[in-house]
Amino acid sequence: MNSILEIRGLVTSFATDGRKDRAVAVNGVDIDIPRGAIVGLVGESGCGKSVTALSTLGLLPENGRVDAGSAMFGGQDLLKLKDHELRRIRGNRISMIFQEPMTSLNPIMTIGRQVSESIMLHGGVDKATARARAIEMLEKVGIPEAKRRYDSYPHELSGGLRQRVLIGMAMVMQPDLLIADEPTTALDVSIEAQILRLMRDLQRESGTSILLITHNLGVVAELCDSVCVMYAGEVVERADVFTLFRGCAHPYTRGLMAALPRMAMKGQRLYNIPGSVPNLWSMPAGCRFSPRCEFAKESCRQEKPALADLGDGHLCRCLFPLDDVPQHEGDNP
Amino acid sequence: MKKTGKDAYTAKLAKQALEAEMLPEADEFKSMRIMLRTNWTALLGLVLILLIAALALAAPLVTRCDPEAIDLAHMRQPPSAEHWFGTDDLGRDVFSRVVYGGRTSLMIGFVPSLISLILGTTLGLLAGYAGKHVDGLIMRLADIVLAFPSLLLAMVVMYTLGASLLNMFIALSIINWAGTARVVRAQTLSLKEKEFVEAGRSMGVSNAMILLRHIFPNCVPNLIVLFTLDIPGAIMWESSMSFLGVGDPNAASWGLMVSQGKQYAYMCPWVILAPGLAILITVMAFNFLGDGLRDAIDPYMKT
Repeated sequence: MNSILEIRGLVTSFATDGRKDRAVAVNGVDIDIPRGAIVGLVGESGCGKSVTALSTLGLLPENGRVDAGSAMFGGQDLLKLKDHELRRIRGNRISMIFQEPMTSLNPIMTIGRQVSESIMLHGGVDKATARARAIEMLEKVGIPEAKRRYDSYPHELSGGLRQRVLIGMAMVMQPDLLIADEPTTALDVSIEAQILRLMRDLQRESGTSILLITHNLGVVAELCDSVCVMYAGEVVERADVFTLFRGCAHPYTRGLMAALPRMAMKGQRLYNIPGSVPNLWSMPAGCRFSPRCEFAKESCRQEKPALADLGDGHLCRCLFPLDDVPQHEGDNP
Repeated sequence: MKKTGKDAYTAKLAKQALEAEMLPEADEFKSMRIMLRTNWTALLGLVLILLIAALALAAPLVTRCDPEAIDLAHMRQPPSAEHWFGTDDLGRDVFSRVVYGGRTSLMIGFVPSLISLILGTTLGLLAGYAGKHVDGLIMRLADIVLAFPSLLLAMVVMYTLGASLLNMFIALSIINWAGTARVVRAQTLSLKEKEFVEAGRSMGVSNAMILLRHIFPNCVPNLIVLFTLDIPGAIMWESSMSFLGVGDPNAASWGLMVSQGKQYAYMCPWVILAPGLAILITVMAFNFLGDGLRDAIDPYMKT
């Protein structure tokens, strides 16, 4: 067993008021997370990144439903487990960090109790042990004066510290897999760097695999071993991080890269991919990216490309994958 | 050497930055305490409530006469040093009766409000969290209760069950729970979409624990306000019903005293003025406190 989590053919749809047909948010996604690796899941808002993660943990909102697929984790298909079986896995063997550190903590419970709640829930230990372990964890995630901060309420902490607490809560049971859903989006850049470093350090120490959901390619380059790029509910490109940044093959990934601000482009207008993500009910025929693709040919609008291997495990869903050309000359890789 | 010095300095800066990040914000219980210090009407309400409750509790100590002692030789006497609030048509000391009546009236304010608080909170939490059919059933039930004029509904219940203190509690609980349930449901609906509930679920916390430990405690500030404002409501309903003659004739509440004294209102107005004022002051005190508490937790009222 090389992968800690294998998602195969995941299809998730949502019921929407006033419509009979369901909106398919995730359409046949395959993702592998190797043991001990950090995998990035990138894409624009609304491309199905978060829904993929929520589906595997059975945390979809009431109107959402997994229609097909499997998510093998430690020999079990997470998508077929009952809620009480999943509850034993959540927070214990797979945990999650959310985007909003300001609201992800219960405002009227001390942060220490929120960390020890998780320990008592899964660890089966008494209050005093849980408290000691919670303080130890708070120290580990860099909360100054952890012993005193144990009795602090979330509003007494800044966003950065709250995100540290959330990471502590997620890591305290030493899970096999951590799903981080845009963990640094709500933080400013200097705190973002600190949090990313903390996550990497904890990951190296515990060997936990991480699925990092983000729309920030800079974060991916910094932290991840391999990357899945999603567009309109599908994986469009998958490669290890060096291959991808050396030469991505899908025009969408290339667009994302070109949209990154660079020092060398100072004063120039920032590139943006024309158009917007297609409506979930009216997906274009053929390649879903074709209406926005500057390289699209007639066949792109008719034939749906498959996820093809370009060699070395570099997968790309494109009829005319781009050659390995450095896209921005004069830029340091 | 130079490098280590710089490193120590940056470490110190980083630590300072971390400390500076911890900024205080408002929290509801704290703003309730602050409100009590700055809002004098709410403080007055609280003081009056404590005073009234203390008088009622210490009734045998503050009164000199048995409230039920009939003294036909001293009927309908105006207020005097002997009888502070005068005597009624049977020569009973009105002051004693008002003080002892406070026990009944406060109990009538407190018990049904507590019952409807517990009932309304439980049903509201269930409706809001379970959603779908449970929500539909509970809320339609609440709609039915709220669709009737409250006084009429309570009177029908009293007529059906018979006049007793227990039935008065039941009648007042029936008309009061629906409002609480609606508020708690609305709050549960918004709380269950909050990230910390989702985070809790992602940590493997069960639904029951999420309701009990994460959603319910966040409703408590609102429940305190509701409870404080329910009490004067219940006292008023009971007074109205006693005045109309549907109350328990043996429970000597203020409402009953007003009702019984109304036929002598022109001859000896003190017999209805004293319990009437007691109702007025008590209800006002609870409303002052309740309004103050509500302002304290209402983010739109904060300046």
